[in-house]
Amino acid sequence: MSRVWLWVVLVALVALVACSDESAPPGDDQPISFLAELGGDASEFERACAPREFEFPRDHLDHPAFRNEWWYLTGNLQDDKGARFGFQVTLFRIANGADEVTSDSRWSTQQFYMGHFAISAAGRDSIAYHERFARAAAGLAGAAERPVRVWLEDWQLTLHDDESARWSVDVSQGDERVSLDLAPLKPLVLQGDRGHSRKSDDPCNASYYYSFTRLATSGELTVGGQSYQVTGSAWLDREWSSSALSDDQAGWDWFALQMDDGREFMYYRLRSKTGRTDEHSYAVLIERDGGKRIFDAGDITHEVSRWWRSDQGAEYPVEGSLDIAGSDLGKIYYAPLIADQELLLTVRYWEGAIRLSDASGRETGRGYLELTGY
Amino acid sequence: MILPGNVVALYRCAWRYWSSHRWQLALLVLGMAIGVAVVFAVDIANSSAKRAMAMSLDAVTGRTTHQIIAQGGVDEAVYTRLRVQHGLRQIAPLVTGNVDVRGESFQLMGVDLFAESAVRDQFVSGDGSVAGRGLLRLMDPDSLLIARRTADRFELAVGDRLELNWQGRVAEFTIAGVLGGTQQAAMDNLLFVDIAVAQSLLGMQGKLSQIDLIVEDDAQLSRIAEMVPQYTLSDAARRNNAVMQMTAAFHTNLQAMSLLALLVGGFLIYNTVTLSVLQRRRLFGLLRVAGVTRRELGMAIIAEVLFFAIIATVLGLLLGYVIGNGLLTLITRTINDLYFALGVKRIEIEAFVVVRAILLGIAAALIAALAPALEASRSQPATVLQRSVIERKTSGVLLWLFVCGCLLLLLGWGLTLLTTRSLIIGFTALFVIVFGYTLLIPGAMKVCVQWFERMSRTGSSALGLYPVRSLTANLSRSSVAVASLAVALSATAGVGIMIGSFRISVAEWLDSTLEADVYISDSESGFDERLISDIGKVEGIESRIVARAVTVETDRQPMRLLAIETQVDAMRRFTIKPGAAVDYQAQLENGTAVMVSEPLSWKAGLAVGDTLVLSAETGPLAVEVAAIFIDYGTGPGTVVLDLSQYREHWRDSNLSSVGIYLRDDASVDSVVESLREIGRAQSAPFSVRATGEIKQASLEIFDRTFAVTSVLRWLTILVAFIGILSALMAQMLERSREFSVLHALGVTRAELRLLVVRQTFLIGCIAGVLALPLGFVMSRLLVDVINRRSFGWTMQFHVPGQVLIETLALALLAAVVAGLYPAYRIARARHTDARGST
Repeated sequence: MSRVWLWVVLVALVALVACSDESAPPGDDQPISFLAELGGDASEFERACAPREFEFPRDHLDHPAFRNEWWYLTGNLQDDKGARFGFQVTLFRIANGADEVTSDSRWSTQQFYMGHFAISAAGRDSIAYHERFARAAAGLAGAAERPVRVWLEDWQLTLHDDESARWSVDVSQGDERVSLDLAPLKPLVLQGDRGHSRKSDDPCNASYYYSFTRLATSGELTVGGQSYQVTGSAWLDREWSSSALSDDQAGWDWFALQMDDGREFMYYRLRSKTGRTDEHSYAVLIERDGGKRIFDAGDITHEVSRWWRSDQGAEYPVEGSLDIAGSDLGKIYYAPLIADQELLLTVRYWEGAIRLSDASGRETGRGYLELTGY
Repeated sequence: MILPGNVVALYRCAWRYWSSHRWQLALLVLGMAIGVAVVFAVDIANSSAKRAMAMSLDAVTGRTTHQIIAQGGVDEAVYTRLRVQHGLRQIAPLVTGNVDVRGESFQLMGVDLFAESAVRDQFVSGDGSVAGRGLLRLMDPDSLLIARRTADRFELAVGDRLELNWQGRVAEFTIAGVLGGTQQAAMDNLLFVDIAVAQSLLGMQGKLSQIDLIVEDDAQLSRIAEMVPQYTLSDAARRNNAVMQMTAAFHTNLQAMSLLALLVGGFLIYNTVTLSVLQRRRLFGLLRVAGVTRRELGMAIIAEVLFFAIIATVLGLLLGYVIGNGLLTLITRTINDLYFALGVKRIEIEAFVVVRAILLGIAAALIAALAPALEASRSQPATVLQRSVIERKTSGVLLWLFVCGCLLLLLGWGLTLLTTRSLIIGFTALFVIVFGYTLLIPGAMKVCVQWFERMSRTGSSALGLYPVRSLTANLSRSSVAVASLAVALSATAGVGIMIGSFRISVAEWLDSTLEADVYISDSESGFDERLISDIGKVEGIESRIVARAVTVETDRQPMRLLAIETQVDAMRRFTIKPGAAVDYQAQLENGTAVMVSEPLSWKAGLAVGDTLVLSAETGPLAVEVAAIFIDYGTGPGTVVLDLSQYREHWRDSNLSSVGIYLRDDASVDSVVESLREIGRAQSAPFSVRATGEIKQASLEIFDRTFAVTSVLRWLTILVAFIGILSALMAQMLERSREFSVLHALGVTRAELRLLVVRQTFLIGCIAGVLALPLGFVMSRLLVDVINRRSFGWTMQFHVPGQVLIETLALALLAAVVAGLYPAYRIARARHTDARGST
């Protein structure tokens, strides 16, 4: 998953500090550039230049030698009355600098976590979401072994059983809560080349990336103060890297589709500022048995049938279709669970649940769509 | 508008009079201006310091409603627990301490960048004044954020290095960002660093100074209280208020000093205005004869004074602004030394302070002008022409003045007995007594002069007696001059005696309190008891005493708790006030009782036998007050408890200070050096200081504290000096005709010069002598009433001979200098011209 990638971090930091004082001399308070701010040269950090051996459960934990990392969970759920929900829980780890800090204070660190969680409910006008930050020190946020646990204050993602890779997530704030158990129905998928996911011609401009593409999910969702017992299916992405995207990229569209026939299809389209699809865009089909098949960017035809305009003035392509040449998936039509799934956080983006259907309008699956840079 | 002829004539007369008496006019305006300036200066300096303090308290508090605090700091794990387990969001940790930067004191704020916006707005204020790219750099171990105003003041930019000094420990930082925003004044004494950096620098590893919380309602408050049963949740606003209260008495004291200057200024204005009326008595008589009504005449005098008062007030405000800037530096330094980290601030002028100074200046002038105006307007045309009438009248009212004066003195004395707590009443009593005393001055002067006359009659020529007798003849004028000089001198004497007494008391107190030869001390977190054995190995140490000092919450107010080894001789260090329980030592030892410092007993209303509830680690601890000891501390007050009791109830075996007694043959320097060696090896170094060094430092702080008072004392003297100068000069110049008659009678110029100087010298003598009793009374009031009410301090009373000599010398100097110019003028005047004209 390329998705939020470094872009989130970049935009997050710009937004975090960009509210600059206008009276300041130029240069002083300019919005930061990614490289300038995050410890300068990316070479200070470890880079993902070649495929590596993954080792679990160790690799479920953090990789602090890399600049960024995330645990990205999305999914579609319904309660016993058939009411539909989408949810997203993301924990980002960000390194402010590569230097090891030597200090006798337990608060000392260069790492911090950013967390987002959101719930969309069919029938509600808009998505409910929250954000928080904490330093990866003093027990406030971090990742720990036995059991594998990633937490940001009282938000946490826990791996209960290394063998079966059964996870649970519990995050709550205000009137919202996501408290779910997640059991993988398929083994994890190493994306790209054995988990090495290239983003440009430079082999080091890449990330390590694996996914659980289908997790049987059950638990409780609370939205607007009202709780629902829910079941459904989720998707967990894990990715870490130290690289930045190239300057001419404007954003991306990311699709994580779970077909009713037991297959998953994932596609991220990197958009250049000229609207062109970057050749490093990526598409993969996960078969019922967990086998994967990678497609070229050129194999995908993406058509937009509806643009939704947010109060912020941004227009998002929330409805359309994907046609994957050389596959038996057929043309997949997608439409949002609700139109307003825009998250106005430190980073502004649209991320929401979608329904999938075929040309006849029959529902063929559910998925998650992320739209950035609009 | 067409003015009536009379009025025009009056103004013309005034114009002519003052244009031929420019010196007098200049001194009148200058005297008034300085009087207003002193009041205004103290006012703006005081209010700026107070405002700055309130603002920086607010800036630190932010939107915090409650704070979790504890003696020795709050365990940092508590914060993590509240956030991670209990999910509290409106909460932020703070590690804070005072550091020095380029000789200024700053509050170091060790913050968690990600939690800050929950309680404070420096980083994300309304106008989005975030420190730009510097904000995330705050996580770097050598990064520092400062307010734009501080950066401008120190001429620092992003990337510059800055040295911080914490108790002798120096650390260098890089300015990672400059905080913009509208709260500049409030942030001017704050330095932001990462919380980890602050912990390391301040030796507070594992601890937080406080946890700031925003609590929505009482229900939430009690829920949070249950989460941290071992800690106190204190109300932030109440805590800030308590800090503000600590300095309130200090500000009131300064205010009173400035009012004293205005009082002296008022006398001076009265004196000058009276004189100007007396000088024009003949003119006014003529005007009355010419048909000017009494009302017109009175109004003209008032209008004239008002006109000058306005000019003088404007000048005074400008001058006050300059003086105020200087005072502010002194005031903030004192606050800084005694109470609170406050950097040097800018003067912030509030409109009402300006209005108050203007009203005060004009009102003083009008009140001073009222009597002369009434005097001039009431007189019959014929009598106004004769000065002897006025002098006769003055003699007639002497008795009345004497009676009124005595009554006022009684009233003032009664006021001091009325209540023992009110500072306002204390000051009112002081002013009533001063005023009452001045009413006695004309009578006292007459007695003095008569005594001088008898003394000088034997073996003196007629000319020798002349200066003495002419004083009696000009009593109406000279007594006002003498009174204003005496009040000014007594104020300087009184304040001088007070400072002297206080300094001696403090020095003696330091001597008895600091008995050991060397002291080791540490910050609030304290050092490990094991250190004691290391210290014991140092060569030359005979014995040692230890103590633990922490801040505790109580059922009354937060207090400084000092836990000492009561069974050893440590108790000797305390000077116990009479009235202590007979067996207070035994009670203290078995932990049923405590001693409280005198200021604490005063502020918290604690008497021997009262019960005090301390919030101990193990729960509330009720103890009885068995004794009160003398203390000149300025903080919240001290309560003394037995050390073993403290350890039991607070489960804290750390120590804050060790007093070390040396063997007779040991060298202080080498022991100090060895101890410092041990200190450097500690993760949180402690400070080692020889007793002499501490005493010297304490007295230096004392002297700095009273630097403001001294400055005000000298300003008061300046006002008085100008007053006496103008009064005497005018008087002498006005008598040029008299002197020309003397010259015609054969008195030489040299003799005339001598005559003038002798007369002003005589006035100085009388004023000096009359000032001493008032000065003495004033100092007693300041020591026993004002300071006691302000700070709860009991002081020994010492009258330093130096102050008395200074006062007399000052009186004579002012008088002689005032005589020099008139003497010069008179001697040079062409007395033939003076004859027969005004």
